[in-house]
Amino acid sequence: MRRSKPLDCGGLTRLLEHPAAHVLACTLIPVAVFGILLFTEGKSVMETYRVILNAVFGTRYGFGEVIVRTTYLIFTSLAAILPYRVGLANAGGEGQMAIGALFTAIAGGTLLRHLIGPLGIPALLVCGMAGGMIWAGIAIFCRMKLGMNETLTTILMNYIATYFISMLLFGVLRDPAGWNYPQTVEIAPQLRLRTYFGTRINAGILLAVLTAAGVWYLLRKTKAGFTIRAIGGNPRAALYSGIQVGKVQAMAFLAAGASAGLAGAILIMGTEGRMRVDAGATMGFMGFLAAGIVKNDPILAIFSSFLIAALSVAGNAMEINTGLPAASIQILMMLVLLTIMATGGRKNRE
Amino acid sequence: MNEITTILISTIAAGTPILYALTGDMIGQRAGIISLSVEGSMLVGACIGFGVAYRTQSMTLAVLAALAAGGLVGFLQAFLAIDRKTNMMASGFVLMFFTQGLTAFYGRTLLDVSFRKPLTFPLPFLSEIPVLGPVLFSQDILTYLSFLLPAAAWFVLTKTKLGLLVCSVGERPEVTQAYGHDPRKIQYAAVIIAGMLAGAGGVQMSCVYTMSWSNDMINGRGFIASALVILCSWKPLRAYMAAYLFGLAQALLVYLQVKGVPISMYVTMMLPYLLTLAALGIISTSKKPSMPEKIKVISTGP
Amino acid sequence: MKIRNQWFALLLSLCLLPALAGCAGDPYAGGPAAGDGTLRPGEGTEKAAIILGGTKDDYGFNYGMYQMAQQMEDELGIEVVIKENVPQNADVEGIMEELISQGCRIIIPSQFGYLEYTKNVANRHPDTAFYSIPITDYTGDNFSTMHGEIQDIWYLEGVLAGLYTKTNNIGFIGSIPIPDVIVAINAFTLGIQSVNSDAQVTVVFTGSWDDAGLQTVSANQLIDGGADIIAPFQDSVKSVIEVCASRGVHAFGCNADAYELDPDTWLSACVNTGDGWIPYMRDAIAGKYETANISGSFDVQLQDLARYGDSVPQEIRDQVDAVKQQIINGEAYVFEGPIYNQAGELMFAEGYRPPIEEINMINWLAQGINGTLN
Repeated sequence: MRRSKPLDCGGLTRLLEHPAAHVLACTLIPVAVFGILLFTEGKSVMETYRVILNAVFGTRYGFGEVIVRTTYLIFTSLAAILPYRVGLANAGGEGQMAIGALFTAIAGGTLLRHLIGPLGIPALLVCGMAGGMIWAGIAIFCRMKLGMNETLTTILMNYIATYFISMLLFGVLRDPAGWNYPQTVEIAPQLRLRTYFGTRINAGILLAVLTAAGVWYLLRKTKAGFTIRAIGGNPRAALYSGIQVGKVQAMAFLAAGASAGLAGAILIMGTEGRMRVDAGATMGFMGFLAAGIVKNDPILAIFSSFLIAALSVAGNAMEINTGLPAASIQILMMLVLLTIMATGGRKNRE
Repeated sequence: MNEITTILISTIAAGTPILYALTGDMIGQRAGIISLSVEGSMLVGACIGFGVAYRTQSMTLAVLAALAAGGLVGFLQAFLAIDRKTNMMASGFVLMFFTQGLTAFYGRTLLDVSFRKPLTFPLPFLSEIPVLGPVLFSQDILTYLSFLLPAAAWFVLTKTKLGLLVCSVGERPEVTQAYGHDPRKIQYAAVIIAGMLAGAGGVQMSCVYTMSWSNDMINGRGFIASALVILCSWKPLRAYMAAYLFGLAQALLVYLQVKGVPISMYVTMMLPYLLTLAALGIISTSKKPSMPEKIKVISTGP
Repeated sequence: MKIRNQWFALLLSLCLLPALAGCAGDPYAGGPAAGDGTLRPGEGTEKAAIILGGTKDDYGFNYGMYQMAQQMEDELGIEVVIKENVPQNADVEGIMEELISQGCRIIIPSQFGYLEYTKNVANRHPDTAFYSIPITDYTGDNFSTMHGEIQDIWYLEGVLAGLYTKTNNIGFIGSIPIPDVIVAINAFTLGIQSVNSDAQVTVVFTGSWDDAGLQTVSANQLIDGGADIIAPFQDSVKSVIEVCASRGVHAFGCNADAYELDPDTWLSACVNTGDGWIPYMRDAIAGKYETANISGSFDVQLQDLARYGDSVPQEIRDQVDAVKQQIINGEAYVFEGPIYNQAGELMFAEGYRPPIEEINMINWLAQGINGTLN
């Protein structure tokens, strides 16, 4: 669609399309810009960056925290990728994850609390997926039957999910032994995921990476993937060639909901143990970003998820060590993402 | 003051910032670019506008600063979405989080200052009318302007050559090209204008409406505005309905509680979103929305 | 139909994976190795940390905690790290580990959503002292509770409001109905009713701690409805105070002394005071840590009434101070029965003085309040 010249000069753009130059630019530009901010605030630039690196790679526990967050982000980024591939946009990973977490917490605290672990854990994962699928299902139902734009619906459903969960946590689901605080009862201890290496890493990360690989395989190597790519390429042509576009779209959307719901299930079984209003906050939005910066590639999304997780963990350490306000983390993280976007190649599919 | 007047005043007050961002983003979307970044534009408009208002005690300068700041965020969105071909939703999210960080960081000095210039400017005679007088004709300049804004946008977009040009970019850029205009420049302009208007909405919110700056004070309103564009089916005149619907829902949130209406507080808080969903359902089923072609390609299937 | 089969296979494998991966297992266990146990909790602390749910410059609860941090730095000679914007979820566990690895030996988690993660971390680090603010039954060993009871102060604010109001109409802008907020509304109303039987209280909730727009809508509607005093239970009270100033009515603050924002509009507020904390921490630093399980207000110096605003006349100040004395020496008790709920049911019987455990569990509004909790 572009007719006129891009804003920056062509040579620089071409140079940036070399992967190595791209990675270098995405590291150096935010680091330099943020360095200026640090300098004007009178903080030691090198010391701050040492703290950031140390927080992610310096301690086993810190690295574990990064992996834990990566887990959720991979799932929520897949929740954005799958619909995108069939020409839909799912901005509702946040709400779908929250409802998945809610379902898991309810089931794990009540119905399934006496199940033994090997049965109960898969059952809870299914509960989480079911929750996410229901929330995504509403949106895709409105899309298919009522013609409502799914982007808008999912954005609105995020807010509705928050208030819906609040309503339950302040009402019927409030833990009677929980000092009147708005939280559910804790799920049964045998339903919690085992943690490894003295950190909070659990098997969720394995599941997340395998799921991402599975999505990649599905999209690249299977007939279903071919269908999906056909729809993503040109929905109208796909329709004319006899593909049941609506059906595939609906299934992709439900699968996206299930993926976000899995993030919620692992959140509850892994670190949270019970549902709270803040459980998993912003993971859905960040997952959407993780998908967006890598142009919705499921394998690259693993890395972008890791990057965002690492920045958020490093940000906490930076705030603790330098006394900068919490907002500075957000600035650094978004500088990185903005640079990735601004220097990303244009050769990718639109 | 009777209760209807109270509710209507709250409705207008809560709806005005939305109305600015909504109209702005609608222009951008007609040119084919969705700017979730209007949230960011509103934030910087609110923060910088309030800062300038406090330092200079001049509302005019504050509005100009907010327009510039909001436009700058719009420019970033345009650059990412048009030249870098990023997913425009994702770039909107990023710009929102980025401005959240920036304004919270640099707005720290504004948290304890006040800007208390009386800005209300009641129109003679008209403001005496019962009910409608205090609601419509006893406002500040920015609110008066917002009353005209969607109508002006409607006029420009549908009745002028410039407007047709903007819409043609969103529909069939080849045609724009054939008439010797650069679609890219027009898209840039539209998205920057979206950011500027959202910035004006932000400064209205901080200087006039809440009379203070607080961190993340926009709190998703820009997001909602961007979503409401779809509710309006890209028709500028429906912006009144959409923005004031949201305002009404916020006003009712408080009113229903004051009256002790026995429905869950959370249902009332969901109300703006539920109302929007319901209205969207009605509009979508009754008539096919006139979605700009470029956006159709991006955000929906066939 | 092929497509469907493959989707099924994908979903099925998703379900089976965790079982294959062998993640089912023991209860949550693990974590870094515990300290060597030779130090008492908090002994020799040079660095302490306060974990906040919002930002420290909000003129509300978090600002109050920030002021306490400064007091700790001055009086104890230690460095106090502030960690802002920590959501009330499991993230806080990682943040506490980071704080400890940076040398923090006294940690003050300020929100109820941090409690069980604090307990997890406390078990792993017996040489670090934890002081929780919300009331809990996790207290023990290196996990102490320093719960400031706010009902006494809000009762005093109610007395002030009841005497001060001219329209006999007072508005309360709540955030979300957690125990502290419900207790505050009820205590405030009981205080008003104790001196002014004609005054009515209207409660609205905004569902958020800092949404300036909703605060403005709420304040304006309450003022339009005749209120001449607004009491916010919000983190950020700036916009409420600004709206009240522009409408010529008066406002309380919440959990911090924000007198300087507008001395004329300001009435008073409930504030955290560090005085009650300092001795315990001084003992801890000196190696004489004892598990504390404190709950109270003036008596334990955890809460107090902020400065009065300029517009509060001397006779009202005297009356409020007199009630304060009665509370201190036990003549008055905020929730002493008979207390009725909105429906007129007797909740606390005549002469009954409920303990804090019961007060914290209140989930009804007192008789005479306009508004609803559900």
